[in-house]
Amino acid sequence: MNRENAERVARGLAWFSIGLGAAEVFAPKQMARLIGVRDNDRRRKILRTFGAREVAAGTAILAQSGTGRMVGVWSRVGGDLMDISTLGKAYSTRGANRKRLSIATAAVLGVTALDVICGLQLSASQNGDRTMRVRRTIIIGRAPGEVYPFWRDANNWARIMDFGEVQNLGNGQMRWTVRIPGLREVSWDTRITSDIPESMITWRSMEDAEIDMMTTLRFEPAPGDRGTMVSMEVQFVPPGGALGAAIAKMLTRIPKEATEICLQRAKQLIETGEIARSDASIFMGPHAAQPPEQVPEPAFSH
Amino acid sequence: MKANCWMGANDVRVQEVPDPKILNGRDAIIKITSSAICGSDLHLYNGYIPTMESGDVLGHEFMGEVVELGRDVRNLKVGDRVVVPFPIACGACFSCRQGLFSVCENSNPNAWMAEKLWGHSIAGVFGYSHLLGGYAGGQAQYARVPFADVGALKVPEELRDDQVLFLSDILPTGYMGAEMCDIQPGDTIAVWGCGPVGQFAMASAKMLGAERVVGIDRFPERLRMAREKVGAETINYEETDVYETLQDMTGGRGPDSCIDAVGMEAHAPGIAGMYDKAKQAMKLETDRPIALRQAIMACRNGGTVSVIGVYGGFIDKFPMGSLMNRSIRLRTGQCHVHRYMRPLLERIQHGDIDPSFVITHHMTLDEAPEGFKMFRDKEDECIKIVLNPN
Repeated sequence: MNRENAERVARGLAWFSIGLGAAEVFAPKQMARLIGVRDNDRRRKILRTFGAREVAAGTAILAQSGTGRMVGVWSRVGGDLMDISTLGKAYSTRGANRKRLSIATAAVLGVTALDVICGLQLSASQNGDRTMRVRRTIIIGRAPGEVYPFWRDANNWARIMDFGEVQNLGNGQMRWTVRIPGLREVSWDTRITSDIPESMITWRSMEDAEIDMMTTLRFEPAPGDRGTMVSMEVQFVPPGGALGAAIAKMLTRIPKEATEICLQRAKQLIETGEIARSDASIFMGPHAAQPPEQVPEPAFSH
Repeated sequence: MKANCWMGANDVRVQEVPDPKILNGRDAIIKITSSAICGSDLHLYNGYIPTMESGDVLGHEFMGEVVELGRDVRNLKVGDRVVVPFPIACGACFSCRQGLFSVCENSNPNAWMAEKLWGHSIAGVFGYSHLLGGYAGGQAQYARVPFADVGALKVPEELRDDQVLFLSDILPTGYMGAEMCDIQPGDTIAVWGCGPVGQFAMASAKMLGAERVVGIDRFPERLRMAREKVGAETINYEETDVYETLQDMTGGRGPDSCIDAVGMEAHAPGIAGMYDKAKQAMKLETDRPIALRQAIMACRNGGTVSVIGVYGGFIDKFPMGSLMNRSIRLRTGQCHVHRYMRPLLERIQHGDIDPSFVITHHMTLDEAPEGFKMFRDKEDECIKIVLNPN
């Protein structure tokens, strides 16, 4: 099963879930007879609960894509196991129709196999492309001729970076250092791989770097002489292993805000000459909005 | 120094905190002489504004004396007496250059938080949650004022603190509420809420040429103030039906403009009030828009509804059909205080208005927690409290 097939099977399983779930919710009596157990109040309640679970799983798969859909399919596998265990117990109850119970169990086992295959394939394709991409855009109220040189100067990156340190190595090269909580510091060097004055700059990690990062800034005059639209696109490929997983976890949390904060600080510096700082924002973690005992070094904006 | 800190819902305490420090070149440190408690502080006090942290210094209506300046502030001197606007504005961005200072693009370091709630951020605000910047406020002995070269306004010696303090927020806010109504000769303006902002909205409507001004509230002392100090007619919404009464007063046409100076914690007798209280308690809506609904329904066809009461998030049963079909114009905004400070200072100097009429209590900073309670519960006919911290 390739990825495309897995997506199609997932959608099929979702509709199956919803159909079966609806039958369990609205016609528990008939369902009980179909699977070969005697109908009573308690069983109707169980069937309705299971039905609600099926509908929820189906909806979750249909409504989401990517990781959400994968989780939805795996939740179906969990549900299948509950079904099998419940059917197994039903064999020894009074008035059970063993033939029908066997057919029902075989059907569930078949669907379970399909769920597992589909889940495995979706998980594999999730891991296949580990690249993380973030893109943010801001208008800075100056012409590209003024905005572009700001970004070309590696020292300015050191002023606006929020979640790590940037060191100017000269020649457009920068050293990025990020602390991975609970692990160690990761450091990688980037160089400029493409540079079109007042239009675009791309930085990329050196070939031997532990983290493959590519950052592209594009500059475009904003309509109505309102300055420059600056868009920043950051792509990361984290390494494998535990470190990679930790970095990936951190990076899924941080880059949207970090990218945006970078852009906002650049705008603040260019437009006002300083980075807006409050009594709380100079601290990395939470801090009450009251004056600091001591201004932290490095303060989270320079 | 001493500062009034938010410790949790319904819990403010005066505590010893570090003195403020210059963090940026355009900062000033102010020794505070007067600092007011604002009706919008009650939204914080009652726990309706998200992203507050225990220990946050409150207060966004303050004035005082400059005691220290950052290296880039050239238009102020140590010793100057200044009033500070509640929104923090850079003066240079797209918004500021249009005079929209309260939606400054550069002054909120936590803009990304506000974007999650509102789609876009607004300016940073003193002592008003972390999503508006996490700036320490001015219910303290000292405060740091960022972008002091754009915000802080020097005030003449001959005017007392009580006369100019409200340039920081509530006088311009009330004025902007009236200005947004685009008042024409002969207009009738109805104002929901006769708290200090409502009083200034009514007084401003008169200054801008309204013929009749109607104030709506339930507290007799506030209605009396509206009649005696502003010359408004009044409606007590607990005694009479607001819509019916306004219809009677305006020949069935409705007020030309309606100002909502109440905001997210409106009250109403009967079912309507209970409905929103319950929904807010269950977190099905964040704000109780009772005054806003009434204002829209009462407004005349083609009139203006001007919203200066503070809303935080989401409302329910918004009468969009009435608004759209009847050509009503809805205007809103946190006040662009910087734009109004100078012209309103001139009005005060000319004697057009003396804003000190809303003050009912003076207290020391130490008494701030009592003040909050008194103001929330409207004890002792409390309308406006001014703290004198030094």
